[in-house]
Amino acid sequence: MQQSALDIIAADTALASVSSDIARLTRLALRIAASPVARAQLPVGASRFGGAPDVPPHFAWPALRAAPLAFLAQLDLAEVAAALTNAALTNAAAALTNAAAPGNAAAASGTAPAHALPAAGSLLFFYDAQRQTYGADPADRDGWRVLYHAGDPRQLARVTPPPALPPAAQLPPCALTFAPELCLPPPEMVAALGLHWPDATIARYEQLLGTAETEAERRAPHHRLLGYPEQLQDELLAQAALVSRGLTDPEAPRAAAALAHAHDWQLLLQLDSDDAAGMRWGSAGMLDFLITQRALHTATFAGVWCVLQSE
Amino acid sequence: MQLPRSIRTALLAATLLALTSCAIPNLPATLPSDASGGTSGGAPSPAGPAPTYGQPSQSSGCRANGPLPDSACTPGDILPGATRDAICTSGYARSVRNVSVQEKAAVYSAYGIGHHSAGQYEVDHLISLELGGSNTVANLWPEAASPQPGFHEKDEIENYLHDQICSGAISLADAQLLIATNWIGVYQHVNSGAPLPVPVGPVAHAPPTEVDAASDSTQMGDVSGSGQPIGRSPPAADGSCSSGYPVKGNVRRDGTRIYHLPQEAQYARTHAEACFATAADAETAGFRAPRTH
Repeated sequence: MQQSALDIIAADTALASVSSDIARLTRLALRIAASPVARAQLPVGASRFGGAPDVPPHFAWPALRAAPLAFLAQLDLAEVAAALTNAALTNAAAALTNAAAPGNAAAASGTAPAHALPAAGSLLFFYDAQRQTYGADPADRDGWRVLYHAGDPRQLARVTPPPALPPAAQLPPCALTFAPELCLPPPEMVAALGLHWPDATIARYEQLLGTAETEAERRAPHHRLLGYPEQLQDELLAQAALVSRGLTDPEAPRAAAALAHAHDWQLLLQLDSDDAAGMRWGSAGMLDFLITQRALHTATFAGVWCVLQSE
Repeated sequence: MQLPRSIRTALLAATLLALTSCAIPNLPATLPSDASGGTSGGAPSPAGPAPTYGQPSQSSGCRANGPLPDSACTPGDILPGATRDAICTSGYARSVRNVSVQEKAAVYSAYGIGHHSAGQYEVDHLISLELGGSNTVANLWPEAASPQPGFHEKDEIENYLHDQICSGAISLADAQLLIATNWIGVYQHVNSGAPLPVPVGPVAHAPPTEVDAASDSTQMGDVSGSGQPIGRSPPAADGSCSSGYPVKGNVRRDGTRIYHLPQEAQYARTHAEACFATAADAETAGFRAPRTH
């Protein structure tokens, strides 16, 4: 979402009663565009979807019950940090956050998550693409892996996917470009974030969000780093909070305690269905890697929860 | 006259299914345990009656039948402007995705689902967006993940049919009929080699609400205003075909689709499942001439 679209939402008279909420909820994210390239064209350490990862010595390819997981993405966090801090939108997000919480911009939710990733190193994403784990069952937790390597990505070495990884689970290599965007939560997520907006307000907010993108933006794959996930089915933050604690029923005795922490979760990486990148999640669906803000701040990626939602 | 015609059509299709020599049984309430594999060949898979797109006759008290929606509540619905070229363009489904919070709540409510576990259901498009389905409640129902086949498996079938359309192997209209009436049959075809079910038509459309119906003229199969591909017509209840669509399409017990021309000796006793204007129209729909022809 661009600044102009956010301005329209923020200025809407029907949303006047929640304007400070909207300002506080605004987050800076990175929209990711993927372009197929030859594997050899990707420099060691460069961000990518698919192809082969660059890994440190003694790297063990993640597997689920001895079956290797598919390699999805590698992110050069220095490149990510540059895209975030060089963005003109950073100032816009900070200004909005400051307006909502004067004098406390750094601590407010608007800018904090955008800068919470380590400023260097690399992140690798693996996933059970064969079985397409949906992340709706506590037992799904081994169906993905997010690995962080703190060293200089250029010191890594490219590794060939294991022979046991079927060709259908090997995504074509794609170079990535990052573009900053402002991000607001989907309407279903507002309650999970601890806000209680009237139904009419939610409906108007949803209506305006639906017009925030141009046709070209709508059609382009919605790969996103940080910010909020888009939502096709159940509310994602609550699902991550619940299922990561071994629960599925929101009315189970321990569920209330888990759901009280739903707002601690946020998007780490959203991968959209994308023909060019060889990604097809369910039926025109999305794959979301979610993380708690605490884990993000401490660069602890073992607890990331992954959810596939489909049309 | 739209509604009476659609009712007649549904009755006709049901009667036809009961009378035809290769009758397709109604869907069982419980799927066979080997639905995901283990069988091959055999009779065509079960099919439901022809749907009346966009015209639910019920909006509450809906009851899903295993992996299938309540056809009274969820007959399916399509975007008239969703042509083959449109749906085969990258990003199409994303560009038309629009199910509101209120709509999702209404769908759960219609099916009497108060609360559910994480990932237990998917508010699914019966005719998926990538197959030209619409976002109206007539096309949405809470589909369970289990027992299998559930929504995960239906996702696979939606992708399969999308690929079949875009490769030219099947028309958009037929794929929409298959997913709306008999996606389990397609699932069995994909997973156990059962014959691909025969699409059961025709289909009556509700007045278009999301896209101008005028843009429908380019839909693959040259769909007419009734949703029936041009060159194809439903047979009469006795299995005969009208003079305008004299070619009889018949589906044998093994699923083989054969067409018969009026001059053939067996024409008179052939009970048609579909009628075509020409042999070419029949071949386009996947029927072939008999070996002796």
